[in-house]
Amino acid sequence: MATEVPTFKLVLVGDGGTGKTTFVKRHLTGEFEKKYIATLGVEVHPLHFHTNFGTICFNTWDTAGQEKFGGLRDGYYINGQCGIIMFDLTSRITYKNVPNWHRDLVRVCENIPIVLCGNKVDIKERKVKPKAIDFHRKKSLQYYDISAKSNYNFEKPFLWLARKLIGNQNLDFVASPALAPPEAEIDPALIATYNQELESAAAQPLPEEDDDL
Amino acid sequence: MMDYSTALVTIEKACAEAQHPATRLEAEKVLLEFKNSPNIVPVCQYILEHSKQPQVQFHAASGITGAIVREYGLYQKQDIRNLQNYLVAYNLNHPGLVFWVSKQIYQAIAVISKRGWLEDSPEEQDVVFNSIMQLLSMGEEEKKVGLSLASALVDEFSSRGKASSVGLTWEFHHKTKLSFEERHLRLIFEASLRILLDQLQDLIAHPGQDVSGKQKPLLGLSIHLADSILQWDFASTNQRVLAGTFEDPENDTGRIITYPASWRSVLVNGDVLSMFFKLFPLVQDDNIMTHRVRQCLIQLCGLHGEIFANEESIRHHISGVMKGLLELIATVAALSSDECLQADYTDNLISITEMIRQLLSYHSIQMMCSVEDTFGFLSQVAQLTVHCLSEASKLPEESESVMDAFDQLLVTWVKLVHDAQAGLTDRNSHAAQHASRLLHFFHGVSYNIVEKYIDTRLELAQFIVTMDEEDDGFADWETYNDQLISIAALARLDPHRTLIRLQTLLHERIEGLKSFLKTNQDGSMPTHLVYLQEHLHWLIVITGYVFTDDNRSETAMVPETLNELSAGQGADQDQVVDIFTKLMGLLDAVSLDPISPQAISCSPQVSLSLFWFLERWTKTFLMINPENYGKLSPNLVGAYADSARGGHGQAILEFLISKIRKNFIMWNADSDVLVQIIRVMTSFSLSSSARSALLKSDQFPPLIQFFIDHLSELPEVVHNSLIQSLAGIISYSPSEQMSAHYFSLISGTIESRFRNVQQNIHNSSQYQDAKVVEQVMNSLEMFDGLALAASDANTPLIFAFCSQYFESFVQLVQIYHSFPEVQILVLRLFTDMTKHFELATLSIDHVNYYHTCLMNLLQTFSAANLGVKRATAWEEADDEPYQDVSIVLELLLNVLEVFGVDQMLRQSPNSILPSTVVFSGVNILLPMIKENMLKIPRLCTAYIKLISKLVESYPARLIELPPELLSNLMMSLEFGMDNNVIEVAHMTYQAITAMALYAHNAAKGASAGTATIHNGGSNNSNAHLTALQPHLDRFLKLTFEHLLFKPFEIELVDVAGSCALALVCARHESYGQLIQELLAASETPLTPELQERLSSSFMHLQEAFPSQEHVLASNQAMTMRDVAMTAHRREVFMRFLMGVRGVLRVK
Repeated sequence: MATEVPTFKLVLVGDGGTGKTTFVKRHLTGEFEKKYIATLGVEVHPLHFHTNFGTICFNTWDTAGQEKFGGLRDGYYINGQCGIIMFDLTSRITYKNVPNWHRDLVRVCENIPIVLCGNKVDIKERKVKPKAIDFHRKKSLQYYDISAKSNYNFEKPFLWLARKLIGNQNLDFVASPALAPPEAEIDPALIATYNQELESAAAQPLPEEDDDL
Repeated sequence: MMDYSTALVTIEKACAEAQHPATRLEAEKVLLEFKNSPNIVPVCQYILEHSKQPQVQFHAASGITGAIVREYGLYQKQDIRNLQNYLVAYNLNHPGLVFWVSKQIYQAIAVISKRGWLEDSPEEQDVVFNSIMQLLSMGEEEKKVGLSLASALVDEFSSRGKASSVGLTWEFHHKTKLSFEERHLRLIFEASLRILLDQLQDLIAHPGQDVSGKQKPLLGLSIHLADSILQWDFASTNQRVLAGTFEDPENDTGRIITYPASWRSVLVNGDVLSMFFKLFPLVQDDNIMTHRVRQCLIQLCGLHGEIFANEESIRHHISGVMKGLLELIATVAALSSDECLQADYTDNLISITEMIRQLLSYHSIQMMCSVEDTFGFLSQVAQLTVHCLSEASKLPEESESVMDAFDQLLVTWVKLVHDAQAGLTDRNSHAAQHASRLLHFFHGVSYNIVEKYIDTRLELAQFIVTMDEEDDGFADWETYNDQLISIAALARLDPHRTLIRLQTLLHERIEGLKSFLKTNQDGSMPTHLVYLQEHLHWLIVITGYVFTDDNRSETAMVPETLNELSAGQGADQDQVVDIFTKLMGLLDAVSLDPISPQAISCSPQVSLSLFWFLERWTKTFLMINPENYGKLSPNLVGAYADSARGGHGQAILEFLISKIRKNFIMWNADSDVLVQIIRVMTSFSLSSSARSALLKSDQFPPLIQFFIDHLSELPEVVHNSLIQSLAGIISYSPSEQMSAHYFSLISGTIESRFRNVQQNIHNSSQYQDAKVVEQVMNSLEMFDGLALAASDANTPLIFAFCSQYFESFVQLVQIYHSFPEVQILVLRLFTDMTKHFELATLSIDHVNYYHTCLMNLLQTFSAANLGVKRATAWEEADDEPYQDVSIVLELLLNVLEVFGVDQMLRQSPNSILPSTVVFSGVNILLPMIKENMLKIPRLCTAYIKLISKLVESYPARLIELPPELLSNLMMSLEFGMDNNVIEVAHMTYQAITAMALYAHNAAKGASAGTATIHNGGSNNSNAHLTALQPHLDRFLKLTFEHLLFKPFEIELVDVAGSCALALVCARHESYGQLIQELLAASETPLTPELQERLSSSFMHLQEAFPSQEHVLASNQAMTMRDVAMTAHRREVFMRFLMGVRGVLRVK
């Protein structure tokens, strides 16, 4: 069954800390699949989407951390069929590096559809103003403001890529992919601290909904 | 070295294993180790020959590039030549290679060619170029290889960030680029155009071909090559960049390419332009080719500068572009989106608007007007503008990108209008004539655009209402601010017609709403009513922009053409007045009793927009003062001025007060509306005439009483701004007595609430109760509202009230030690008091008391938080991470910036000076600041700002600090020097400069035995100064390291230069030694010539140093001015940087 689903290799690049991994983790199936290959330098997450043309799958190569650890760099891009370049709207330097990521990507994956995503639109202190984002025009990329945190525009990049890859503008996602509910993301470190606090604070009754630490 | 066949097997296995998650890591290691081992070129060649697997070929090819970069010096020239030939032949002999392998091979050839370029003779430099030219004259396969190789060469030699890193100096990259640009670039471009022309002729001769990159490879490749070359950043014509800046100007907005005059014969030649225009419709089936052709056309439409020999050729060019664009507009833009793919359609549309903008950007209006077809062309552009709007209303989902195209055109129109208006006053009568002709033309055109815009907004309303709203939390006037400003600018060209349109549309809808409310009393909200309210919202917003500018200064002016329009109309015909009256009729109709059924049919959006409108309107029109105008329309005076001028301003004000009260009750659950209403009241307080009218009004005391009575029913989020607004207004009461009376009303309310709170928090079973915590926070918000309203007029009053509770506030931090939200509010309150209190109006005792409380607050905060573990991930996912730390930083900075208090307190012994508060605060705060916090730009900026300001203001006190704190501060400065945020680096350099100057002056004073130069300096400063020296030496070293070796922002040259000068003065003895050390650490091997060049650069730098006599003169302290960047010094510095960075910076 899995082999019948049209699958595309999606390469996800961008500076560290721009939210690539959070973005991918938003997709619950990806979160589940991740456990299989979590320890490797590049993480591959199959993300499934249901469309009016049937299910499709983006095999998403999340290259997180590669900027630190070297790795194969462009070797990871081989046979990439589409790409997402992510930058952080609150940090100008991550936008400045977009051309470098694009250059490396298209050297290996010529003419693939690429989406540029400005992440963290939820944060009011936006450093990269909408007017300053014109790289995508020059390179014929699609651009979206997104927020991995609040799910804003989460589907848009995938929908645009799917339409390009299938070659049909009428393709639509039929049921929303199961997104992790906003704000529900729980950090293991946080849980650890939380538990620790709970134990030590057992003497003092805490109000029920107190989740501030 | 393993034998070749074993290597092949190993690499093939690793490539296969790299595909599987379980074995990937190990396989990657094998591949990386192989690629980094010495002398692998022959192995890679062997692998290329024997492997059929693209992955394997890919790694072999990139292995060759890496090896050449690492080991170039080890090869004989002939070996290199052979390798190059081998690689070209390899691609020719393997036509079936996958593109990403062949690309790697082309890249290898290009890298080799560039690497040897500067050592090669001209003949040797021509080798690859010649083989390209030869390939291009042969058959299709050879042409393909030739074009691809040429593209790789252009990328490798360009400075657009496409060049590979080869570990060589900036100057190497720069020289090779320049040389390639001069020798080969144009010839390659011409060759690509010849092939392109053949391809075009073929397309025309054989219509109906499948045009795709696969079917027409030569077409695709030649377009690609032409596009890359047209994007070339010409070293000969474009602005100089700082040597050593491997910049990537591709992301610089508004990058302009200027082609050199030597390209005139190729580019200023109608043939090239028309060739691309012809190509454009023919390649539409292939969106990549279409994109590149669009990019080429955008460049060609924007030709300007020395490439034109004379005005005639400019006119010829303009007219050619217009002709081509008119056809494009006719064939592409006139189509409807229904007939083609939406994405392609909007991309084309946006590109056409960019071409238009390019054309209209570079030439004067006089030049434009002297071209025959300009007016016909501009009419078509106007139609296109209207067309974009039609499309936007048809495709709500795509409307954003079609709106981008519209915005682009709008900006172009506004610029033209602006230029024409400026041109009216041109001394050249001919130019003025052109300008007035153009303006006349715009008069007609702009109304059409404005009318269509209004219609489009109304049409889009129905989609917005039905779409699932993805609310981004921004109001329409925030999201579309730029667009609406432009529309207003166009609308004001012909205000009469625009206002008629608005009058009609508003009238219909207002009457519609009124009659609905009259006849339907069941609280229903049928769809047509929803649309109608959305329409009203947009009409109000557009009117707001046309009527007023968002003026932040005290006196906002009525737009000139509206004033003129009003002046020319009878009082009962006045359109400006009429629209306002209509809107107030609407406000009256929708201000209802909340329990009436009609109230449920009202939209908070409409009320919100009305009060938004009133906020702007009040600043401009209410109590309008004719003295601010040359000639103010009598209608406006009559309608809105105060009664002394015979106007009805007072009546309007009173009407507004009654509506404010009504709406406060009606929308008491909708805090957005309430906050907006409070803004209207604040705008009353900003204008002195509106303010005094308000205070005089009989309606004012009941209004205050109304708020006091209803405070507890209003949502807590508005308490803060409401109290701020009220306190702000009453401090202008005509008498102190009155002011005190009103104030006691407000403070009484706050007081009784806080007393209540105080009882609860001391009850250990209650203080954690959610309700109690909420009450605590709410009272703090109210106090903060008072703090925000503080000014020189009311500080004593507010201080007297608040200071009774200072100790209680501090106590709250202790009680709520595990409730950061409470602590944050207490900190926020003190921060705002520090910022807004005019401390100089208080007594010395009061200020000392205040400072004591601040110190206690900081101590208490530290005790509650030091050592508390923070969940990093949790904090950083927050919008405002480490908010408490951030507020403490702000608090300390505010203390530091209070003006005049220092002097005042010095009059009395044992005062607690601001610097004492800040130093002790920093001492408390430093242990809480962790490195990960400084990665957050906002926190880092605030932190470095504080440290820099401290060091800059009190350099003398630095030496009194415990050594640990001192080195902590110095480490922080070091961290700030090369921070990504330019502002941070800037402040850091300034602080170091101040410190160096202080050290220099103090040392000079000590050695000359004179009295201390800097106040605060002490007699034993000599010993203390020694403690500063290692830090200064370190900064001297770091500053030069940044200047010489690191990526460096050109904006920082000035401050870093001054800093270097000050440091050299302070640490002259370390400087000479330092230069030697720095150069020894260079990555570039220093040949004797280089050595020579560098030392002469350093010699020349001395010209920038302040003169020796001045430096040594003991009776004069050196100041910032002595090391400031004068034009001369800047010149010396730039020359120095060019001289050294070019050879020391490496990529």
